[in-house]
Amino acid sequence: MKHTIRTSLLTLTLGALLAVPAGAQSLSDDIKTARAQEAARIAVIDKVSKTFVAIGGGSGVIVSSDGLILTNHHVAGSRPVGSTWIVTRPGGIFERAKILGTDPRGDITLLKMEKSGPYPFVEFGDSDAIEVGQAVIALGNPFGFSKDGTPNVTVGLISATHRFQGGYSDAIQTDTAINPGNSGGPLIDFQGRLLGINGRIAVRFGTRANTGIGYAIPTNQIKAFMPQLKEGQVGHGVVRGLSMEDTRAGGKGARVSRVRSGSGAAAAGFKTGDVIIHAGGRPVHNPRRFEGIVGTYPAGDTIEVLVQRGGREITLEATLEARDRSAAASKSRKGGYLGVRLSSPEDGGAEVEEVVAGSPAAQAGLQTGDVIRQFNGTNVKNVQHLISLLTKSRIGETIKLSVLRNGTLETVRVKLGNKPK
Amino acid sequence: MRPLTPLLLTLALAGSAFAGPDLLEDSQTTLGAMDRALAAAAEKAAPSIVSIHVKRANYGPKDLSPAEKAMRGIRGYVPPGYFARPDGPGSGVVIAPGLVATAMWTIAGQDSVEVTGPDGKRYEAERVGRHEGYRVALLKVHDKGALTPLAQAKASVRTGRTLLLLGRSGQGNLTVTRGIVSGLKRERSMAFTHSCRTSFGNVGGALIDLEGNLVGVSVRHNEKASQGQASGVGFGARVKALMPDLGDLAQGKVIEAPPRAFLGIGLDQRHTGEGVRVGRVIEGTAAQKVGITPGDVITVFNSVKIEHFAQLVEEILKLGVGAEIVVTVRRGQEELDYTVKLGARPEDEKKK
Repeated sequence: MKHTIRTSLLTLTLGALLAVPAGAQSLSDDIKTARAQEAARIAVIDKVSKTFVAIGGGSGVIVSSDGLILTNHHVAGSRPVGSTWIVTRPGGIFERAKILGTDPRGDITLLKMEKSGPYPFVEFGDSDAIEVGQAVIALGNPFGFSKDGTPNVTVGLISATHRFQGGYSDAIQTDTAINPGNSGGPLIDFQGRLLGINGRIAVRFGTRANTGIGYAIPTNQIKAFMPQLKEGQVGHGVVRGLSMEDTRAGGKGARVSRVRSGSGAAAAGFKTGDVIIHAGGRPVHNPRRFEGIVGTYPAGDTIEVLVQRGGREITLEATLEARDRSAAASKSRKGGYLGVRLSSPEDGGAEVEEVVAGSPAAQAGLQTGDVIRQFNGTNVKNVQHLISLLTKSRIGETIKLSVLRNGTLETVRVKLGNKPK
Repeated sequence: MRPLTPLLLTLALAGSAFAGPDLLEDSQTTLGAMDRALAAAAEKAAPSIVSIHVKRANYGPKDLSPAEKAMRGIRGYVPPGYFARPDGPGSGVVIAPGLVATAMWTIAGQDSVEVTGPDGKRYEAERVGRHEGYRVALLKVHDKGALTPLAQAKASVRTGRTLLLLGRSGQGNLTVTRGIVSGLKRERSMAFTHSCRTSFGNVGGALIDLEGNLVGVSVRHNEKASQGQASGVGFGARVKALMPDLGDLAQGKVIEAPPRAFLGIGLDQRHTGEGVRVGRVIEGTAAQKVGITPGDVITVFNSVKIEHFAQLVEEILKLGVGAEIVVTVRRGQEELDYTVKLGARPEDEKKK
């Protein structure tokens, strides 16, 4: 019997091996195939590179034949709407472009060439249709090494989608090498379609170089804001009066813990105990994801929200109100340094928008999206209140913060530092 | 039953080679073709990749340069010695019999140099010439027979082309990182950028194409793209550009970056029409000597119609210092021809 088994396995193996020549290729075939893949990659890169512009210390991309340009707010938005930038197109062609509108929270600025074109441009892709693992191209001017407007081209993968990173509330994560100077540049698929605008990287100790984690603002969000961007200032939407927590099972939606009477949430029909499972056609697995989806729409838009209520599923329509725009950074002031950018949420406290890499806040584990509720036992009313408490603190002092993270109160101790120069 | 184990392994391997076509859009036959080609390329080039050890007298942390201080950023903290050259070996590539090319940065200094071949054997090496424009240095190894030179790639360096960066560790292991050509004409057109992750260990190593031929030498140009963190922006020197000087470099010649030709005008960025409008004229330069003045629009340079500034710069850089050419400018309604003898860029002059 042993022999028989061996023989049949051998037959199987031989069969598999014999199948190899039909399926696998010789090395020269492999090289030929690889060369063809390389040629296809170069063809896409050649095509999309023409749409690149260098702007200020960063990057941008032309998205229409008549010369609309997208870049980051932190690249071009420092100048007022209506003012002009000189952009550099590949080959070192200088052209003037005017700021049409800017979105500080969403980190997008829209400009338009003064000339009417026609310009080579990238088409918008559907950023909700992208898949983790798909190959992408980034164009940019990292470290400012390009002097002639030709982009630096890097390729990589989509690492994750729908990452919540404060203002980047629905970010695409990529391992494509993006570095300081890539900001505002496009993330493009191999069909040559725009998936997002690169704008952030995760770094440690202020070493401003790629670590394999970069974030892009998705095109579907940008599309939703285009009409407002063309008109000037942009307002992000929010559902006011809605408090949420994780479902008990976790990951099964966002449970509504409180609805303030007379608020936008109450008007939309939210009730305490509802579990939000879909918003804007996209699944919601926790409160942060709901905030993330809402963050991709401007104020005034109405989104459909699917909730579970007593065993039934009900569709609500929520018209988004304008979000508090007063994001405040802890700038020049006395006292200890925390290292966060904050905004005031609806229900009081101070929401962490961004954690400065290497700062005391980062070292203590504060996260984007945390809502600081208490400072050394004192209830925090809003950002201004927190800043006033920080002003009275001392450098080197350890403070106790009570923070709301995904519906749970947690205690974080931070040793305040010296404000960096 | 013992023979079953290898058979089962073979089966498993055969199975894994046929991962479903639904994983990628490639067909079964092409799935992994690029990976297989690159693995073969690395294997082919491996005998030419060496490890380079410099016996430095002092490896201690050094003071940060202004560029490095800027790299720290306004917020950040960098541990002490972060930018210091580590006490580890770098890499090199055998470019001709007995000749190893590497990055200038890797072997800088006066201390003795040793090269470790793929067989783990150590060779005394001698610094010969270097090209300061390309940032490539050459080492001579007297035991010529031991090291295999790597064939040069035929195809031109082009953005998007597949690259592998090969280095060799101090223990003799080959190291491989993968990327593409990211940009051309960087660092005064002396380098291209690539996305292969570059570390202190593989600076000086070989950039090869997917057939295992030498495209360039991995070099260090700029501290901003820190090799300490492998930013994904590395520099390469084109081996094709280097080859004509190889003989001189092997004889110990130090080739400085040639001074760039200089006209001496600044651009008026407000001008968006054809040609280049002169914003300013720099004192003591070729342009000033012949009488080109702000407001002039340069329309033709050395018989080439000028559309924009970068094109003019490119035309100037094609020429050497001392070249005499005709520049046509429009001044109001007039068209004027000037014969100009190009000077050197002021910063290149100061270097000397």
